[in-house]
Amino acid sequence: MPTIRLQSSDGEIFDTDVQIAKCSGTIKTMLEDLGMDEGDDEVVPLPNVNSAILRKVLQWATFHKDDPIPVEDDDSKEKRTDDISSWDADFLKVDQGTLFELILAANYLDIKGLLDVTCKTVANMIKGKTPEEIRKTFNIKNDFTPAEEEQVRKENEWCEENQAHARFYRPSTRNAFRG
Amino acid sequence: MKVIEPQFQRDFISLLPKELALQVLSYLEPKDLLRAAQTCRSWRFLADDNLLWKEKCKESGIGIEPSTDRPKRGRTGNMPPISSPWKAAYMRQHIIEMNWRSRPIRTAKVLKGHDDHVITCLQFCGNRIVSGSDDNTLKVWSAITGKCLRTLTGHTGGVWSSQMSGNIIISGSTDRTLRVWKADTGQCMHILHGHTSTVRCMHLHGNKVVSGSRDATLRVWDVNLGTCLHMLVGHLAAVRCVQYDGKLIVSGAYDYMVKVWNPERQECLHTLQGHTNRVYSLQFDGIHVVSGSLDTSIRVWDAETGSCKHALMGHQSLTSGMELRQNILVSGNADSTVKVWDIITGQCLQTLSGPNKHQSAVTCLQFNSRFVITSSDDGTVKLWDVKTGEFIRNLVALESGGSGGVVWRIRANDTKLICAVGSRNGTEETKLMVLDFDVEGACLKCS
Repeated sequence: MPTIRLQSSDGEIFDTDVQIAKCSGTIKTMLEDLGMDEGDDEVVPLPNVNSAILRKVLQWATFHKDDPIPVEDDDSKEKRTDDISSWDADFLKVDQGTLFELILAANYLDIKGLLDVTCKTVANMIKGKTPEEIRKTFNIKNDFTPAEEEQVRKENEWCEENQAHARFYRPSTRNAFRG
Repeated sequence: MKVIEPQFQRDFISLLPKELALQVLSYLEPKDLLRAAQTCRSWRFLADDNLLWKEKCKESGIGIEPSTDRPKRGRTGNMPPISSPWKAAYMRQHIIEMNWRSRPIRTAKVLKGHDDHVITCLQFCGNRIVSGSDDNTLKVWSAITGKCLRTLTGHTGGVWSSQMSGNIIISGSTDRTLRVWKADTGQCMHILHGHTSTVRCMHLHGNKVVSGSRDATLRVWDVNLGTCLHMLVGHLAAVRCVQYDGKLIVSGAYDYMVKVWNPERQECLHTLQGHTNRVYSLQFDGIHVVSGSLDTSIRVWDAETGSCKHALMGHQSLTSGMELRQNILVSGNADSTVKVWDIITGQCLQTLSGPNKHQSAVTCLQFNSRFVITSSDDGTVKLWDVKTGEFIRNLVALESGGSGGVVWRIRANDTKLICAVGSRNGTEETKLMVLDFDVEGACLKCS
């Protein structure tokens, strides 16, 4: 099986199946543009990806090597995040630092499938949370002044389906305070 | 929540390159985007991204009017207010949807007129409402102020059909004429003579109106010149409904027939036979003809070949009103139910019935991508979810419902509902009701 040699930023060499390496649009283009042929002993340097992340990326690419070629952004398709395969979900049970590096690597290496699934994973970490829960999850400092916070709260008020009912049918508590 | 050591945490949205942060945010639903915007300044900046919200609008079928003002919000400190017109459009649309669905309904404007007569036809476009009545008149109303602007008098018999486009109103009467009116001045421009009996139905397209009459003929008129261009003869009984798309005319009649005509050549291209009773309602999208009949069936025909594609069975009585949009048909029936159909497969997708169903014949309906609005002889106007078929709520429930109060006609746009209500026994005064579902405080000049 033809292989090429990928070099991570920290100098580690990964002998990689060409088909797997070509999951990456960036590597595919490099090979084609540079006219690198299979069997060449030349090393493809990937100065933006360290060995730990490159190992993960190649692990992902190996598992997904037979996936159909992803279509370019289909605008008509609904943006779903509940369609992550269980293998990917397990694969992405990593700390936030690794997930962050994987997104950057997937973007740099132009691996659409990996980029989509990593971004979805982050989106799922945000979904359903209150602003305070989001801050805790990502260690974000609230840099609004109290007045600004009130302004953004108002700007972003979501009118709930049952909110009106609640207001409408809320039983009076006045009786409870009657002597 | 599991405590994560800060050194293992990453503020993805603030630290990722902008296009990647936006890709993450693009997977969030609007509700989550609004929460994300409240986290900190940099998240707010990205979560308010205009293209992000443009996508959300696109997914929900929300358009933007070119005139949409940028929202003006109170500024606090040095933080600029939201500046995404698409977000503003999304928020506005969401509030309007909630106003229809669940928020308390504001008191309706009541427009009294036509005394104790029946309102037979209703038009609503822009801010103008036109009601036609068997009191021989039409009335032009402002949907904003609720004032009657004009009363169009001249017909010597009841008005039973009307059309409106721009500043032109056309009416058809039992006095056998059509009249062309100017909406703003109330001036009668033309009286169109020719029919020998009641003008029962009409359809306006461009400057041509096609009228169907109890005299069994159809006539095509030039509304600017006031002249009769064509006459279509072939039906054997009263013409009850007509549709015209500028090329072909389709008519339904009491002879149980539906006919497809070429008006220029005054030629009947197809006679669509199959109904076994009077035809009362029609829809025509240029490809399909859909006819509703007293024989309880609805038939879908191919206008080109004249063949019957489907007989939609399930209703128990007369289909009095239908609307067709993008191959989805909604039919209102005297059996008090409403059905949603796919006219390509002939499948009934939903039946709007159940414990909250209408108690009497359905008189009128309208639908869009979210809702079906239906009115009935039971004195109610009901709102339904078009996708699930679920009853949402009553928009109108006349106290006199069940004892004589009926809703004859309804018309709606995105934010307003107009209902023509009354009774035949004096229990409910004849009037129009205007319900407003717009964002509260929406300025009048831009509505």
